[in-house]
Amino acid sequence: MQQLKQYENHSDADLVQLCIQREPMAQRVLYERYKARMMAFCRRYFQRQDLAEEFFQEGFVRFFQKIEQYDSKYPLYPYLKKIFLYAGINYLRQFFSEKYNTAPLETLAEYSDPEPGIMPSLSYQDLLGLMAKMQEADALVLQLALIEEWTHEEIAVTLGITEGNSRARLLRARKKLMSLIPLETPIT
Amino acid sequence: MEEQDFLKKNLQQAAESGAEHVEVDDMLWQSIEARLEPKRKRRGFFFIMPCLGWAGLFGAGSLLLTLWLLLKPAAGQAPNAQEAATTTQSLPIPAVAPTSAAAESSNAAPINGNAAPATTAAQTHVSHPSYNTSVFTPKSVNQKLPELATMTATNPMPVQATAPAAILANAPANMPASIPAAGAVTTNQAAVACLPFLFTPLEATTTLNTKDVSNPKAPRTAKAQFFLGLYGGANTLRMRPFTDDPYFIEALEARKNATSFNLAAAGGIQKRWNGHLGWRVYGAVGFSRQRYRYRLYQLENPTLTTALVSNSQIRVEITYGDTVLLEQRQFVAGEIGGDLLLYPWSAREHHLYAGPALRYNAGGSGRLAPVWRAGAAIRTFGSWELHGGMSWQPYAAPWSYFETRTIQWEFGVRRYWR
Repeated sequence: MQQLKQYENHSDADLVQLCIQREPMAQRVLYERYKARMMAFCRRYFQRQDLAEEFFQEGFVRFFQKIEQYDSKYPLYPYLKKIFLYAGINYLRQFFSEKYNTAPLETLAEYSDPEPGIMPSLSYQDLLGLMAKMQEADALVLQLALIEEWTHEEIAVTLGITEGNSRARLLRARKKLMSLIPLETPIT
Repeated sequence: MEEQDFLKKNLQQAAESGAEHVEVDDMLWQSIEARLEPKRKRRGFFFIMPCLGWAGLFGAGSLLLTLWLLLKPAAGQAPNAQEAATTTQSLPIPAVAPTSAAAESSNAAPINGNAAPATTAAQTHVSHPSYNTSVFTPKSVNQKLPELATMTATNPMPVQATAPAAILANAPANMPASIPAAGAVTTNQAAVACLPFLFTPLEATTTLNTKDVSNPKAPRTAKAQFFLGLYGGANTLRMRPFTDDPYFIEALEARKNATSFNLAAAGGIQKRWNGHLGWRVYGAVGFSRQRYRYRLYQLENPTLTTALVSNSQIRVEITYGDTVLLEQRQFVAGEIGGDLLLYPWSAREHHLYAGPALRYNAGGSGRLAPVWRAGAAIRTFGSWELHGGMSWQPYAAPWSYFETRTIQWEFGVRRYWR
C-alpha cells in the first residue's frame, strides 16, 4: 500500500512510462485510476455482467501488453475506451448479423417524433435501462455516435457495416430513445 | 439539432456518471495481474523452456545411440548367418498410435516395393517354454535386458503377431493373417523395445494471424497455422490456412518423411459460439505413397510394402478459439486409425494437468483404453502456451488401444488468440 501511494500523484504519462518498464505498482495505480470508469464503459457495451467483466479484463491486459503503442500526447481515457471496445469487437459485430436484426431498417415509420418537451436528466442506470430496451446494434451505434462521438465512417469501418447502415441505425435509435424517455411538458 | 445536442450531452453525462455506480471486484485485478505476470517477471525463465525441450530430445537421441552401441556387439555374436540376417532387419518400431503419423514414423531402410513377408516357414522356430509371451513392454525389456543378452543366442523366442487389416489388404494372397515370427529375440531387438521411450512425439504449432484487431481495416481472413511435428523421427509440415468464415477450405496438407509422402486438400464447415467455443467438421482428400509395415507393434522382423493409397479422412474438431480441444480423425480409405482423445481443458493461464483421459481408436483395432495424462501448461509471451507432460496407458489388456503398456511424452508450443 505504501508503495502504491508513492505513485498516486504521478500523471498518466509518467505512469505509462513506468508501465513500459514493467513496473507493477505503476500498473496497479493506473488500473485503480481507471477501473471504475472502464467498468462502467464495459457495462454499457457488454450489458451482461459476466461479459462486461471478461472484456474488462481483456481490455486491461491488452492495454498493458501493448502499452508501448500508446502515444502520451493524447489523453489516455479515449485510448483506453478504444482498446476495450476492440477487445470485444467480435462479440459486438455479431449484433449486426441477421439473427439479431429481426426488424428491417426501413421501418422507420413506426417511430414517431415525440411531442416537444423538456428532457429530464438521465442517470447511468436510466441509460443502461434504455439501452437494454433497444435493439443491440442500434444501441451500439447510438452510443458510439453520440457518447463517444465517433464519425459514421469510423463506426462503419470498425463494425464492418456501411456508413448508410450506421446513419439509418442512429436515426432509428435516436427516435426510439426519444420515445422511451418520458418528456416533461414545458411550462408555458 | 438542438435536440440532438442536448440528447448527446445528456447521454454523455449519464455515461460518465457510471463510474460512481459500479463496483469492481478485486479478483479482477488478480486475474489481470496473473496474466501480466509472466511477461513482467519470468521472461528469462520461459525462454529457457523450449531449449530444455530440445535438449531433452537430443538427450534422448544420445541415449538411444549409446544404448544401441552398447548392445551392438551382442548382435554381432549371433550363432549363424541366418540369425545375423534377422538381426539386421530388426527396425525401430515406435509404439505410438496407428494413425498415419505413426505409420509413417519409422526410419526403416527402403525395401523392395513388392510386398513379401520376410519370414518363411523354414525360419520359424520352436517356442521356448520360459518366454511364452508375445507382448513386450519397455519396462519388462529394461528389466530383462541383461538376461536377454545371454539368452538370445541359445533361446529363441516366439512372437505372435496380427497384421492390421488395411495392411493385410495389400498383402500377397498367400500371406496368413497371423504370422508366426521368425528369428530369435536378439539384444538388438530388445533395444528396439526401448524406443517408445525415446522416439516421442514432439509438436510445435504456430498460428499466424494477420488480423490486427487494433486496425479495423485489416483483412479478417488472413490466418494460417503452421504445424511442425516430429513423430518418431519423421518430419511433418502442415500448412493450414483457416478462417473465421463458416465455410472454409484448407489449401494443402503435406507430409514427408522417411517412409511416406502425403498430400491432401481439405475443406469443411465450422461454427463458433461467441467467437470461442465451436466445432469444425471437415474432410480431406489426397493420396499418400508410403511403405507399410507388417506387424507394426510387435518386436519381430517387420516387412515393408510400398503402396499408393488414397488418403481420405473425416475430421471432427471441438475448438476453443483456435485451440483444438478434441480431434477425431477417421480415415475413410487407405489407412487405418483415428484417434479420439478426450481430456479436460483448462482456461487458466498456467496450470498443471493430471488426470484420466480416454483414448479410442476408431479404425483398425477399435480399442478403447484409459490413459493417464499429466503435465504442465504455461501461457506466456502474450498468448503463447508451452506445455509438456506425458501420457501413460497402464493396461495391456486385450481391449486396450496398444497391445503393450505405453508411455508417450508430449511437448508442445501453441499460440492462442481470442
